[in-house]
Amino acid sequence: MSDIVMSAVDVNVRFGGLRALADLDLEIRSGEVLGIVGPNGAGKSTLFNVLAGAIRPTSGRVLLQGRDITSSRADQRARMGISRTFQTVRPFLDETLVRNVAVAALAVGDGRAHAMDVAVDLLEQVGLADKAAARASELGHGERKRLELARALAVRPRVLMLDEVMAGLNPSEVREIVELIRSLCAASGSELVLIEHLLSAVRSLADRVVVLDAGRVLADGTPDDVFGDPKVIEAYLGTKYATS
Amino acid sequence: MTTQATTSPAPRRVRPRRRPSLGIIVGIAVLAALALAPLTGSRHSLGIWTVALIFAGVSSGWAIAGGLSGLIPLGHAAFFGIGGYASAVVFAKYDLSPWLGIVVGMVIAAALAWLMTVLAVRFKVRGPYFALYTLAWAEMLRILASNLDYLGKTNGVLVPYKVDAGPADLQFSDPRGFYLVAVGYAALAMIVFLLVKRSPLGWRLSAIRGDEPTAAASGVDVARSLTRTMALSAAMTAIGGGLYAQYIQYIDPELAFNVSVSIDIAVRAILGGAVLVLGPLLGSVAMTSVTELTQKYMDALPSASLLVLGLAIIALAHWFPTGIGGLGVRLKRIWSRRSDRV
Ligand SMILES: Nc1ncnc2c1ncn2[C@@H]1O[C@H](COP(=O)(O)OP(=O)(O)O)[C@@H](O)[C@H]1O
Ligand SMILES: [Mg+2]
Repeated sequence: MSDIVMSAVDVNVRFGGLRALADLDLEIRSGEVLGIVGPNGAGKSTLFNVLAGAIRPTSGRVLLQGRDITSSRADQRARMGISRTFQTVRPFLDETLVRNVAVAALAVGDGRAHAMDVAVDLLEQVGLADKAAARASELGHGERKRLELARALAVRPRVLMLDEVMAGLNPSEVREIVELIRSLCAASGSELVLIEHLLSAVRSLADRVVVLDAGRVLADGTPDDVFGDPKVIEAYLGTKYATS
Repeated sequence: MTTQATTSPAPRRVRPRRRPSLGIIVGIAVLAALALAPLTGSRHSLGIWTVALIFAGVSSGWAIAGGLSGLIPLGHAAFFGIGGYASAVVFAKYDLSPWLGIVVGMVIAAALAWLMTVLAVRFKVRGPYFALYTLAWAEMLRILASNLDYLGKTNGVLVPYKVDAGPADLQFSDPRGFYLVAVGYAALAMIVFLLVKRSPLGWRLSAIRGDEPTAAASGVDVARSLTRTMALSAAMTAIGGGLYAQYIQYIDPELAFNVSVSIDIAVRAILGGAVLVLGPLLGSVAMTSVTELTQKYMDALPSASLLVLGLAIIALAHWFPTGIGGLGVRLKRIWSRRSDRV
Protein backbone atom coordinates (compact mmCIF):
# COMPACT_ATOMS: atom_id res chain seq x y z
CA MET A 1 0.00 0.00 0.00
CA SER A 2 2.64 2.49 -1.03
CA ASP A 3 0.06 5.04 -2.13
CA ILE A 4 -0.93 5.85 1.45
CA VAL A 5 0.84 9.05 2.43
CA MET A 6 -0.42 9.45 5.92
CA SER A 7 -2.69 7.55 8.22
CA ALA A 8 -4.30 7.52 11.62
CA VAL A 9 -4.53 4.05 13.13
CA ASP A 10 -7.05 3.19 15.84
CA VAL A 11 -6.93 6.69 17.29
CA ASN A 12 -8.77 7.62 20.45
CA VAL A 13 -8.95 11.06 21.97
CA ARG A 14 -10.69 11.65 25.26
CA PHE A 15 -11.33 15.00 26.89
CA GLY A 16 -12.30 13.97 30.39
CA GLY A 17 -15.38 11.82 29.88
CA LEU A 18 -15.89 12.92 26.28
CA ARG A 19 -14.73 10.70 23.43
CA ALA A 20 -13.84 13.19 20.73
CA LEU A 21 -12.39 10.44 18.51
CA ALA A 22 -13.26 6.79 18.94
CA ASP A 23 -11.24 3.96 17.36
CA LEU A 24 -10.73 6.06 14.31
CA ASP A 25 -8.88 4.88 11.22
CA LEU A 26 -8.14 7.22 8.34
CA GLU A 27 -5.93 7.06 5.27
CA ILE A 28 -4.72 9.95 3.19
CA ARG A 29 -3.83 8.66 -0.25
CA SER A 30 -1.31 9.95 -2.71
CA GLY A 31 -2.55 12.66 -5.02
CA GLU A 32 -6.04 12.94 -3.63
CA VAL A 33 -8.14 15.75 -2.30
CA LEU A 34 -9.92 14.38 0.74
CA GLY A 35 -12.95 16.14 2.16
CA ILE A 36 -13.85 15.66 5.79
CA VAL A 37 -17.35 16.64 6.77
CA GLY A 38 -19.60 16.11 9.73
CA PRO A 39 -21.78 17.99 12.17
CA ASN A 40 -20.33 20.38 14.71
CA GLY A 41 -18.49 18.58 17.47
CA ALA A 42 -17.98 15.48 15.33
CA GLY A 43 -14.25 15.58 15.98
CA LYS A 44 -12.96 17.00 12.69
CA SER A 45 -10.69 19.64 14.19
CA THR A 46 -9.54 17.19 16.82
CA LEU A 47 -8.53 14.83 14.02
CA PHE A 48 -6.44 17.61 12.45
CA ASN A 49 -4.87 18.35 15.81
CA VAL A 50 -3.88 14.70 16.12
CA LEU A 51 -2.51 14.50 12.59
CA ALA A 52 -0.59 17.77 12.97
CA GLY A 53 0.75 16.92 16.43
CA ALA A 54 -1.02 19.74 18.26
CA ILE A 55 -2.48 17.15 20.64
CA ARG A 56 -1.36 13.63 21.52
CA PRO A 57 -4.03 11.00 21.07
CA THR A 58 -5.05 9.10 24.18
CA SER A 59 -4.23 5.96 22.22
CA GLY A 60 -3.47 5.02 18.63
CA ARG A 61 -0.80 5.94 16.14
CA VAL A 62 -0.13 8.42 13.37
CA LEU A 63 1.97 7.31 10.42
CA LEU A 64 3.68 9.34 7.72
CA GLN A 65 4.66 7.13 4.81
CA GLY A 66 4.69 4.17 7.11
CA ARG A 67 6.82 5.84 9.75
CA ASP A 68 5.37 6.23 13.24
CA ILE A 69 5.33 9.93 14.07
CA THR A 70 2.88 9.79 16.99
CA SER A 71 5.42 11.19 19.40
CA SER A 72 6.82 14.01 17.26
CA ARG A 73 5.87 17.58 18.07
CA ALA A 74 3.80 19.97 15.98
CA ASP A 75 6.80 21.98 14.82
CA GLN A 76 8.67 18.83 13.79
CA ARG A 77 5.69 17.66 11.79
CA ALA A 78 5.41 21.04 10.11
CA ARG A 79 9.02 20.68 9.05
CA MET A 80 8.22 17.17 7.74
CA GLY A 81 5.64 18.82 5.50
CA ILE A 82 2.46 18.24 7.48
CA SER A 83 0.84 21.63 7.40
CA ARG A 84 -2.50 22.83 8.67
CA THR A 85 -4.61 25.91 9.01
CA PHE A 86 -6.54 26.64 12.18
CA GLN A 87 -10.29 26.88 12.25
CA THR A 88 -9.91 29.97 14.42
CA VAL A 89 -7.07 31.84 12.77
CA ARG A 90 -4.66 33.68 15.02
CA PRO A 91 -2.08 35.44 12.86
CA PHE A 92 0.90 37.24 14.39
CA LEU A 93 -1.00 40.50 14.70
CA ASP A 94 1.93 42.85 15.31
CA GLU A 95 3.85 41.55 12.34
CA THR A 96 3.61 42.44 8.69
CA LEU A 97 1.99 39.94 6.36
CA VAL A 98 5.33 39.03 4.76
CA ARG A 99 6.81 38.26 8.13
CA ASN A 100 3.75 36.22 9.12
CA VAL A 101 4.41 33.97 6.17
CA ALA A 102 8.21 34.23 5.99
CA VAL A 103 8.76 32.85 9.47
CA ALA A 104 7.30 29.53 8.30
CA ALA A 105 9.58 29.48 5.26
CA LEU A 106 12.47 30.29 7.57
CA ALA A 107 11.55 27.39 9.84
CA VAL A 108 11.88 24.89 7.00
CA GLY A 109 15.38 26.10 6.27
CA ASP A 110 15.14 29.04 3.93
CA GLY A 111 17.53 31.92 4.60
CA ARG A 112 15.90 35.17 5.61
CA ALA A 113 16.15 36.84 2.21
CA HIS A 114 14.80 33.80 0.42
CA ALA A 115 12.06 33.35 3.02
CA MET A 116 10.94 36.91 2.29
CA ASP A 117 10.79 36.14 -1.44
CA VAL A 118 8.83 32.96 -0.82
CA ALA A 119 6.43 34.89 1.38
CA VAL A 120 5.86 37.58 -1.21
CA ASP A 121 5.17 34.96 -3.86
CA LEU A 122 2.67 33.18 -1.65
CA LEU A 123 0.93 36.40 -0.70
CA GLU A 124 0.61 37.10 -4.38
CA GLN A 125 -0.95 33.68 -4.91
CA VAL A 126 -3.57 34.30 -2.24
CA GLY A 127 -4.21 37.82 -3.51
CA LEU A 128 -2.67 39.76 -0.64
CA ALA A 129 0.48 41.04 -2.36
CA ASP A 130 -0.63 44.65 -2.18
CA LYS A 131 -0.89 44.41 1.58
CA ALA A 132 2.39 42.58 2.13
CA ALA A 133 3.83 45.38 4.24
CA ALA A 134 0.67 45.95 6.30
CA ARG A 135 0.25 44.49 9.73
CA ALA A 136 -1.90 41.40 10.17
CA SER A 137 -4.03 43.29 12.68
CA GLU A 138 -5.24 45.52 9.86
CA LEU A 139 -6.80 42.62 7.94
CA GLY A 140 -10.46 41.68 7.78
CA HIS A 141 -11.73 38.20 8.50
CA GLY A 142 -11.61 36.86 4.96
CA GLU A 143 -8.14 38.27 4.42
CA ARG A 144 -6.92 36.63 7.59
CA LYS A 145 -8.12 33.28 6.29
CA ARG A 146 -6.13 33.81 3.11
CA LEU A 147 -3.08 34.86 5.10
CA GLU A 148 -3.43 31.65 7.11
CA LEU A 149 -3.50 29.71 3.86
CA ALA A 150 -0.30 31.41 2.65
CA ARG A 151 1.38 30.68 5.98
CA ALA A 152 0.40 27.02 5.80
CA LEU A 153 1.79 26.81 2.27
CA ALA A 154 5.12 28.32 3.27
CA VAL A 155 6.37 25.12 4.88
CA ARG A 156 6.11 23.46 1.43
CA PRO A 157 3.56 20.91 2.59
CA ARG A 158 3.36 17.32 1.49
CA VAL A 159 0.02 17.15 3.26
CA LEU A 160 -2.00 20.32 3.56
CA MET A 161 -4.96 20.31 5.93
CA LEU A 162 -7.43 23.16 5.70
CA ASP A 163 -9.88 23.55 8.58
CA GLU A 164 -12.99 25.40 7.43
CA VAL A 165 -11.15 27.99 5.39
CA MET A 166 -14.45 29.07 3.88
CA ALA A 167 -16.37 29.60 7.08
CA GLY A 168 -17.54 33.16 7.43
CA LEU A 169 -16.64 34.15 3.89
CA ASN A 170 -19.14 35.72 1.54
CA PRO A 171 -20.10 33.87 -1.67
CA SER A 172 -17.66 35.71 -3.90
CA GLU A 173 -14.83 35.10 -1.44
CA VAL A 174 -15.81 31.43 -1.37
CA ARG A 175 -15.67 31.27 -5.16
CA GLU A 176 -12.22 32.86 -5.13
CA ILE A 177 -10.87 30.52 -2.52
CA VAL A 178 -12.31 27.45 -4.26
CA GLU A 179 -10.50 28.52 -7.42
CA LEU A 180 -7.37 29.13 -5.42
CA ILE A 181 -7.46 25.73 -3.73
CA ARG A 182 -8.11 24.08 -7.06
CA SER A 183 -5.08 25.72 -8.63
CA LEU A 184 -2.97 24.89 -5.58
CA CYS A 185 -3.88 21.25 -5.92
CA ALA A 186 -3.03 21.28 -9.58
CA ALA A 187 0.29 23.02 -9.04
CA SER A 188 1.73 21.69 -5.82
CA GLY A 189 1.32 17.95 -6.01
CA SER A 190 0.77 17.86 -2.28
CA GLU A 191 -2.07 15.97 -0.71
CA LEU A 192 -4.91 18.12 0.40
CA VAL A 193 -7.27 17.41 3.24
CA LEU A 194 -10.19 19.69 3.55
CA ILE A 195 -12.57 20.13 6.46
CA GLU A 196 -15.51 22.01 5.16
CA HIS A 197 -19.06 22.72 6.16
CA LEU A 198 -19.88 24.05 2.76
CA LEU A 199 -20.96 20.85 1.05
CA SER A 200 -21.07 22.41 -2.39
CA ALA A 201 -17.40 23.30 -2.07
CA VAL A 202 -16.50 19.79 -0.92
CA ARG A 203 -18.50 18.30 -3.77
CA SER A 204 -16.65 20.37 -6.35
CA LEU A 205 -13.16 19.91 -4.87
CA ALA A 206 -12.87 16.51 -3.23
CA ASP A 207 -12.02 13.17 -4.82
CA ARG A 208 -13.09 11.33 -1.70
CA VAL A 209 -15.21 12.27 1.29
CA VAL A 210 -15.10 10.97 4.85
CA VAL A 211 -18.04 11.73 7.10
CA LEU A 212 -17.34 11.92 10.81
CA ASP A 213 -20.04 11.70 13.42
CA ALA A 214 -19.45 11.60 17.18
CA GLY A 215 -15.79 10.76 16.72
CA ARG A 216 -16.36 7.87 14.31
CA VAL A 217 -16.24 7.42 10.55
CA LEU A 218 -19.82 7.26 9.39
CA ALA A 219 -19.15 7.01 5.66
CA ASP A 220 -16.20 7.00 3.28
CA GLY A 221 -16.40 7.19 -0.50
CA THR A 222 -16.84 9.38 -3.55
CA PRO A 223 -18.82 12.57 -3.01
CA ASP A 224 -21.80 11.25 -4.94
CA ASP A 225 -21.93 8.01 -2.99
CA VAL A 226 -21.48 9.66 0.35
CA PHE A 227 -23.95 12.45 -0.05
CA GLY A 228 -26.56 10.00 -1.37
CA ASP A 229 -26.12 7.74 1.65
CA PRO A 230 -29.25 7.73 3.87
CA LYS A 231 -27.09 7.41 7.02
CA VAL A 232 -25.28 10.61 6.13
CA ILE A 233 -28.43 12.48 5.28
CA GLU A 234 -29.92 11.45 8.58
CA ALA A 235 -26.86 12.54 10.55
CA TYR A 236 -27.10 15.94 8.97
CA LEU A 237 -30.86 16.39 9.14
CA GLY A 238 -30.76 15.15 12.70
CA THR A 239 -28.33 17.80 13.88
CA LYS A 240 -29.21 20.66 11.57
CA TYR A 241 -25.70 21.96 11.73
CA ALA A 242 -24.85 25.61 11.46
CA THR A 243 -21.61 27.15 10.30
CA SER A 244 -19.53 28.32 13.20
CA MET B 1 17.59 41.76 3.04
CA THR B 2 19.62 44.57 1.67
CA THR B 3 18.46 47.44 -0.41
CA GLN B 4 20.70 46.70 -3.37
CA ALA B 5 18.87 45.86 -6.54
CA THR B 6 19.34 42.27 -7.60
CA THR B 7 20.40 41.41 -11.13
CA SER B 8 17.13 39.69 -11.96
CA PRO B 9 14.44 42.35 -12.26
CA ALA B 10 11.56 41.79 -9.88
CA PRO B 11 9.22 44.66 -10.56
CA ARG B 12 6.41 43.93 -8.13
CA ARG B 13 8.58 43.04 -5.20
CA VAL B 14 7.21 44.56 -2.04
CA ARG B 15 10.12 43.47 0.02
CA PRO B 16 10.38 45.99 2.83
CA ARG B 17 13.52 48.06 2.65
CA ARG B 18 16.05 47.67 5.39
CA ARG B 19 16.97 51.08 6.70
CA PRO B 20 18.91 51.84 9.83
CA SER B 21 16.04 52.44 12.20
CA LEU B 22 15.44 55.74 13.93
CA GLY B 23 15.97 53.86 17.17
CA ILE B 24 19.56 53.03 16.27
CA ILE B 25 20.40 56.56 15.24
CA VAL B 26 18.89 58.03 18.37
CA GLY B 27 20.58 55.30 20.41
CA ILE B 28 24.01 56.15 19.07
CA ALA B 29 23.41 59.83 19.70
CA VAL B 30 22.20 59.22 23.24
CA LEU B 31 25.14 56.98 24.07
CA ALA B 32 27.63 59.43 22.63
CA ALA B 33 26.07 62.21 24.67
CA LEU B 34 26.20 60.02 27.75
CA ALA B 35 29.86 59.20 27.16
CA LEU B 36 30.66 62.90 27.03
CA ALA B 37 28.37 63.91 29.88
CA PRO B 38 30.82 63.40 32.78
CA LEU B 39 33.01 66.16 31.39
CA THR B 40 30.48 68.33 33.15
CA GLY B 41 28.59 67.56 36.32
CA SER B 42 29.46 66.51 39.82
CA ARG B 43 30.90 63.32 41.25
CA HIS B 44 27.64 62.59 42.97
CA SER B 45 25.62 62.63 39.79
CA LEU B 46 28.30 60.61 38.01
CA GLY B 47 27.76 57.80 40.51
CA ILE B 48 24.01 57.92 40.04
CA TRP B 49 24.28 57.72 36.28
CA THR B 50 26.85 54.96 36.41
CA VAL B 51 24.33 52.83 38.26
CA ALA B 52 21.50 53.98 35.97
CA LEU B 53 23.51 52.85 32.93
CA ILE B 54 24.35 49.50 34.47
CA PHE B 55 20.65 49.01 35.04
CA ALA B 56 19.89 50.14 31.51
CA GLY B 57 22.12 47.30 30.33
CA VAL B 58 20.56 44.82 32.75
CA SER B 59 17.14 45.90 31.61
CA SER B 60 18.08 45.46 27.94
CA GLY B 61 19.20 41.97 28.86
CA TRP B 62 15.80 41.38 30.45
CA ALA B 63 14.05 42.74 27.35
CA ILE B 64 15.67 40.06 25.15
CA ALA B 65 13.35 37.64 26.93
CA GLY B 66 10.67 39.93 28.35
CA GLY B 67 10.25 42.03 25.23
CA LEU B 68 10.99 39.76 22.30
CA SER B 69 9.59 36.40 23.39
CA GLY B 70 6.40 37.40 25.15
CA LEU B 71 7.49 35.61 28.31
CA ILE B 72 7.24 37.73 31.45
CA PRO B 73 10.23 36.77 33.55
CA LEU B 74 10.07 38.36 36.98
CA GLY B 75 13.09 36.76 38.56
CA HIS B 76 16.01 38.33 36.75
CA ALA B 77 17.50 39.19 40.12
CA ALA B 78 18.58 35.54 40.03
CA PHE B 79 20.93 36.23 37.12
CA PHE B 80 21.88 39.70 38.30
CA GLY B 81 22.81 38.26 41.69
CA ILE B 82 24.72 35.33 40.22
CA GLY B 83 26.79 37.78 38.19
CA GLY B 84 27.36 39.90 41.28
CA TYR B 85 28.42 37.05 43.51
CA ALA B 86 30.56 35.39 40.84
CA SER B 87 32.56 38.54 40.16
CA ALA B 88 32.93 39.33 43.86
CA VAL B 89 33.92 35.81 44.88
CA VAL B 90 36.39 35.31 42.05
CA PHE B 91 38.08 38.60 42.90
CA ALA B 92 37.91 38.50 46.70
CA LYS B 93 38.57 34.83 47.31
CA TYR B 94 40.75 33.78 44.41
CA ASP B 95 42.41 37.06 43.56
CA LEU B 96 41.53 36.71 39.90
CA SER B 97 40.22 39.42 37.59
CA PRO B 98 36.57 40.33 38.20
CA TRP B 99 36.18 40.21 34.42
CA LEU B 100 36.80 36.49 34.68
CA GLY B 101 34.27 36.40 37.50
CA ILE B 102 31.75 38.08 35.22
CA VAL B 103 32.30 35.40 32.58
CA VAL B 104 31.85 32.70 35.23
CA GLY B 105 28.63 34.44 36.31
CA MET B 106 27.38 34.57 32.71
CA VAL B 107 27.92 30.85 32.29
CA ILE B 108 26.20 29.92 35.56
CA ALA B 109 23.31 32.32 34.92
CA ALA B 110 22.82 30.99 31.38
CA ALA B 111 22.86 27.39 32.62
CA LEU B 112 20.32 28.16 35.32
CA ALA B 113 18.07 30.04 32.88
CA TRP B 114 18.28 27.13 30.47
CA LEU B 115 17.23 24.69 33.19
CA MET B 116 14.42 26.95 34.42
CA THR B 117 13.02 27.34 30.93
CA VAL B 118 13.31 23.66 30.01
CA LEU B 119 11.22 22.87 33.07
CA ALA B 120 8.77 25.68 32.34
CA VAL B 121 8.27 24.45 28.78
CA ARG B 122 7.96 20.85 29.91
CA PHE B 123 5.26 21.70 32.45
CA LYS B 124 3.63 24.41 30.34
CA VAL B 125 4.28 27.24 32.77
CA ARG B 126 3.32 30.42 30.94
CA GLY B 127 1.97 33.92 31.42
CA PRO B 128 1.57 35.08 35.02
CA TYR B 129 2.59 31.64 36.24
CA PHE B 130 5.91 32.01 34.49
CA ALA B 131 6.38 35.36 36.22
CA LEU B 132 5.77 33.82 39.63
CA TYR B 133 7.81 30.77 38.78
CA THR B 134 10.90 32.82 37.88
CA LEU B 135 10.38 35.00 40.93
CA ALA B 136 10.41 31.86 43.09
CA TRP B 137 13.79 30.85 41.64
CA ALA B 138 15.28 34.20 42.62
CA GLU B 139 13.84 33.84 46.12
CA MET B 140 15.38 30.39 46.39
CA LEU B 141 18.77 31.83 45.54
CA ARG B 142 18.31 34.63 48.06
CA ILE B 143 17.64 32.11 50.80
CA LEU B 144 20.49 29.93 49.62
CA ALA B 145 22.97 32.83 49.63
CA SER B 146 21.74 33.93 53.06
CA ASN B 147 22.64 30.51 54.45
CA LEU B 148 25.88 29.64 52.70
CA ASP B 149 29.06 30.26 54.65
CA TYR B 150 30.96 30.32 51.41
CA LEU B 151 28.99 33.41 50.33
CA GLY B 152 29.24 35.12 53.72
CA LYS B 153 25.61 34.38 54.62
CA THR B 154 23.61 37.60 55.14
CA ASN B 155 26.82 39.63 55.42
CA GLY B 156 27.59 39.04 51.77
CA VAL B 157 30.96 39.44 50.11
CA LEU B 158 33.19 42.52 50.25
CA VAL B 159 35.22 43.44 47.20
CA PRO B 160 38.57 44.64 48.56
CA TYR B 161 40.48 47.67 47.33
CA LYS B 162 43.58 46.65 45.53
CA VAL B 163 46.81 48.60 45.51
CA ASP B 164 47.94 49.52 42.02
CA ALA B 165 44.61 48.34 40.63
CA GLY B 166 43.76 48.98 37.00
CA PRO B 167 41.00 48.44 34.48
CA ALA B 168 41.72 44.69 34.58
CA ASP B 169 40.55 44.78 38.21
CA LEU B 170 37.61 47.03 37.35
CA GLN B 171 38.94 49.67 39.73
CA PHE B 172 39.66 53.15 38.51
CA SER B 173 41.41 56.08 40.12
CA ASP B 174 39.18 58.36 38.06
CA PRO B 175 35.45 57.61 38.58
CA ARG B 176 34.86 58.45 34.93
CA GLY B 177 36.60 55.18 34.13
CA PHE B 178 33.83 53.07 35.59
CA TYR B 179 31.24 55.36 34.10
CA LEU B 180 32.61 54.63 30.65
CA VAL B 181 32.55 50.91 31.37
CA ALA B 182 28.85 51.33 32.22
CA VAL B 183 28.25 53.21 28.95
CA GLY B 184 30.01 50.41 27.10
CA TYR B 185 27.94 47.74 28.81
CA ALA B 186 24.66 49.53 28.10
CA ALA B 187 25.71 49.87 24.46
CA LEU B 188 26.69 46.20 24.25
CA ALA B 189 23.39 45.09 25.77
CA MET B 190 21.45 47.22 23.30
CA ILE B 191 23.46 45.87 20.37
CA VAL B 192 22.87 42.28 21.46
CA PHE B 193 19.16 43.02 21.86
CA LEU B 194 19.02 44.42 18.36
CA LEU B 195 21.00 41.57 16.83
CA VAL B 196 18.65 39.05 18.43
CA LYS B 197 15.59 40.99 17.36
CA ARG B 198 16.71 40.95 13.73
CA SER B 199 18.11 37.42 13.69
CA PRO B 200 16.19 34.29 12.66
CA LEU B 201 15.75 33.68 16.38
CA GLY B 202 14.13 37.11 16.63
CA TRP B 203 11.67 36.18 13.88
CA ARG B 204 10.80 33.00 15.71
CA LEU B 205 10.35 34.84 18.99
CA SER B 206 8.08 37.34 17.37
CA ALA B 207 5.92 34.48 16.07
CA ILE B 208 5.86 32.84 19.50
CA ARG B 209 4.87 36.17 21.03
CA GLY B 210 2.10 36.45 18.44
CA ASP B 211 0.60 33.01 18.98
CA GLU B 212 2.34 29.89 20.19
CA PRO B 213 0.22 27.21 18.46
CA THR B 214 0.41 29.06 15.15
CA ALA B 215 4.16 29.45 15.56
CA ALA B 216 4.53 25.72 16.21
CA ALA B 217 2.34 24.91 13.21
CA SER B 218 4.69 27.10 11.18
CA GLY B 219 7.60 24.86 12.14
CA VAL B 220 8.98 27.07 14.92
CA ASP B 221 10.63 25.05 17.67
CA VAL B 222 9.09 26.89 20.59
CA ALA B 223 10.98 25.13 23.37
CA ARG B 224 14.38 25.61 21.80
CA SER B 225 13.76 29.24 20.93
CA LEU B 226 12.64 30.07 24.45
CA THR B 227 15.46 28.23 26.24
CA ARG B 228 18.11 29.87 24.09
CA THR B 229 16.56 33.27 24.58
CA MET B 230 16.33 32.97 28.33
CA ALA B 231 19.93 31.75 28.52
CA LEU B 232 21.17 34.70 26.49
CA SER B 233 19.04 37.14 28.46
CA ALA B 234 20.39 35.71 31.71
CA ALA B 235 24.00 35.99 30.56
CA MET B 236 23.56 39.63 29.54
CA THR B 237 21.92 40.36 32.90
CA ALA B 238 24.73 38.64 34.81
CA ILE B 239 27.29 41.03 33.29
CA GLY B 240 25.39 43.93 34.84
CA GLY B 241 25.24 42.22 38.21
CA GLY B 242 28.99 41.69 38.08
CA LEU B 243 29.66 45.32 37.20
CA TYR B 244 27.31 46.51 39.93
CA ALA B 245 29.01 44.46 42.64
CA GLN B 246 32.41 45.70 41.50
CA TYR B 247 31.19 49.28 41.41
CA ILE B 248 29.73 49.35 44.91
CA GLN B 249 32.46 46.89 46.01
CA TYR B 250 30.02 44.77 47.86
CA ILE B 251 27.24 42.25 47.33
CA ASP B 252 24.78 40.69 49.74
CA PRO B 253 21.65 38.53 49.36
CA GLU B 254 19.26 41.51 49.35
CA LEU B 255 21.18 43.63 46.85
CA ALA B 256 21.57 40.59 44.65
CA PHE B 257 18.35 38.63 44.81
CA ASN B 258 15.64 40.73 46.45
CA VAL B 259 12.26 40.75 44.68
CA SER B 260 12.54 44.51 44.34
CA VAL B 261 15.62 44.02 42.14
CA SER B 262 13.65 41.77 39.79
CA ILE B 263 10.83 44.27 39.64
CA ASP B 264 13.19 47.18 39.12
CA ILE B 265 14.81 45.43 36.15
CA ALA B 266 11.49 44.62 34.51
CA VAL B 267 9.87 47.99 35.20
CA ARG B 268 12.69 49.97 33.60
CA ALA B 269 12.23 48.01 30.37
CA ILE B 270 8.45 48.10 30.42
CA LEU B 271 8.40 51.81 31.24
CA GLY B 272 10.60 52.60 28.24
CA GLY B 273 9.18 49.99 25.88
CA ALA B 274 10.36 46.39 26.04
CA VAL B 275 10.25 45.62 22.32
CA LEU B 276 12.29 48.68 21.37
CA VAL B 277 16.08 48.93 21.43
CA LEU B 278 15.96 52.24 23.18
CA GLY B 279 13.22 51.28 25.61
CA PRO B 280 15.27 50.02 28.55
CA LEU B 281 17.71 52.93 28.32
CA LEU B 282 14.88 55.46 28.25
CA GLY B 283 13.08 53.67 31.05
CA SER B 284 16.20 53.55 33.14
CA VAL B 285 16.98 57.22 32.66
CA ALA B 286 13.36 58.10 33.46
CA MET B 287 13.28 55.96 36.56
CA THR B 288 16.55 57.25 37.95
CA SER B 289 15.48 60.83 37.22
CA VAL B 290 12.19 60.37 39.01
CA THR B 291 13.92 58.83 42.00
CA GLU B 292 16.51 61.59 42.20
CA LEU B 293 14.09 64.48 41.66
CA THR B 294 11.57 63.24 44.17
CA GLN B 295 14.31 62.71 46.73
CA LYS B 296 15.53 66.21 46.16
CA TYR B 297 12.21 68.07 46.13
CA MET B 298 9.73 65.83 47.91
CA ASP B 299 11.82 64.43 50.72
CA ALA B 300 9.06 65.14 53.23
CA LEU B 301 7.18 62.23 51.68
CA PRO B 302 9.35 59.13 52.17
CA SER B 303 8.04 56.99 49.30
CA ALA B 304 7.33 59.84 46.92
CA SER B 305 9.41 58.30 44.15
CA LEU B 306 7.37 55.11 44.25
CA LEU B 307 4.17 57.12 44.15
CA VAL B 308 5.30 59.15 41.16
CA LEU B 309 6.55 56.04 39.38
CA GLY B 310 3.29 54.25 40.03
CA LEU B 311 1.32 57.13 38.57
CA ALA B 312 3.67 57.35 35.61
CA ILE B 313 3.23 53.64 34.89
CA ILE B 314 -0.55 53.89 35.09
CA ALA B 315 -0.52 56.87 32.76
CA LEU B 316 1.77 55.10 30.29
CA ALA B 317 -0.23 51.89 30.39
CA HIS B 318 -3.31 53.91 29.58
CA TRP B 319 -2.04 56.18 26.85
CA PHE B 320 1.12 54.50 25.61
CA PRO B 321 1.02 50.78 26.26
CA THR B 322 4.32 50.36 24.42
CA GLY B 323 6.18 52.61 26.84
CA ILE B 324 8.01 55.91 26.49
CA GLY B 325 9.74 54.63 23.37
CA GLY B 326 6.31 53.81 21.93
CA LEU B 327 5.47 57.50 22.17
CA GLY B 328 8.41 58.21 19.88
CA VAL B 329 7.34 55.50 17.45
CA ARG B 330 3.85 56.91 17.33
CA LEU B 331 5.10 60.44 16.73
CA LYS B 332 7.30 59.10 13.96
CA ARG B 333 4.31 57.38 12.33
CA ILE B 334 2.19 60.50 12.53
CA TRP B 335 5.05 62.47 11.07
CA SER B 336 5.68 60.12 8.14
CA ARG B 337 1.97 59.91 7.39
CA ARG B 338 1.79 63.67 7.25
CA SER B 339 4.84 63.94 5.03
CA ASP B 340 3.33 61.30 2.72
CA ARG B 341 0.39 63.58 2.09
CA VAL B 342 2.45 66.63 1.37
N1 LIG C 1 -9.21 21.02 23.98
C1 LIG C 1 -10.42 20.48 24.22
N2 LIG C 1 -10.81 20.22 25.49
C2 LIG C 1 -12.00 19.66 25.75
N3 LIG C 1 -12.89 19.32 24.81
C3 LIG C 1 -12.57 19.54 23.52
C4 LIG C 1 -11.32 20.13 23.17
N4 LIG C 1 -11.27 20.24 21.81
C5 LIG C 1 -12.43 19.73 21.36
N5 LIG C 1 -13.22 19.32 22.37
C6 LIG C 1 -14.52 18.68 22.24
O1 LIG C 1 -14.36 17.57 21.37
C7 LIG C 1 -15.47 17.45 20.51
C8 LIG C 1 -15.00 17.51 19.07
O2 LIG C 1 -14.60 18.85 18.79
P1 LIG C 1 -14.00 19.28 17.40
O3 LIG C 1 -12.96 18.33 16.99
O4 LIG C 1 -13.63 20.71 17.50
O5 LIG C 1 -15.28 19.12 16.45
P2 LIG C 1 -15.50 19.68 14.99
O6 LIG C 1 -14.26 20.30 14.48
O7 LIG C 1 -15.93 18.48 14.20
O8 LIG C 1 -16.63 20.67 15.10
C9 LIG C 1 -16.42 18.58 20.87
O9 LIG C 1 -17.40 18.06 21.75
C10 LIG C 1 -15.55 19.56 21.59
O10 LIG C 1 -16.28 20.29 22.53
MG1 LIG D 1 -13.84 22.19 13.91
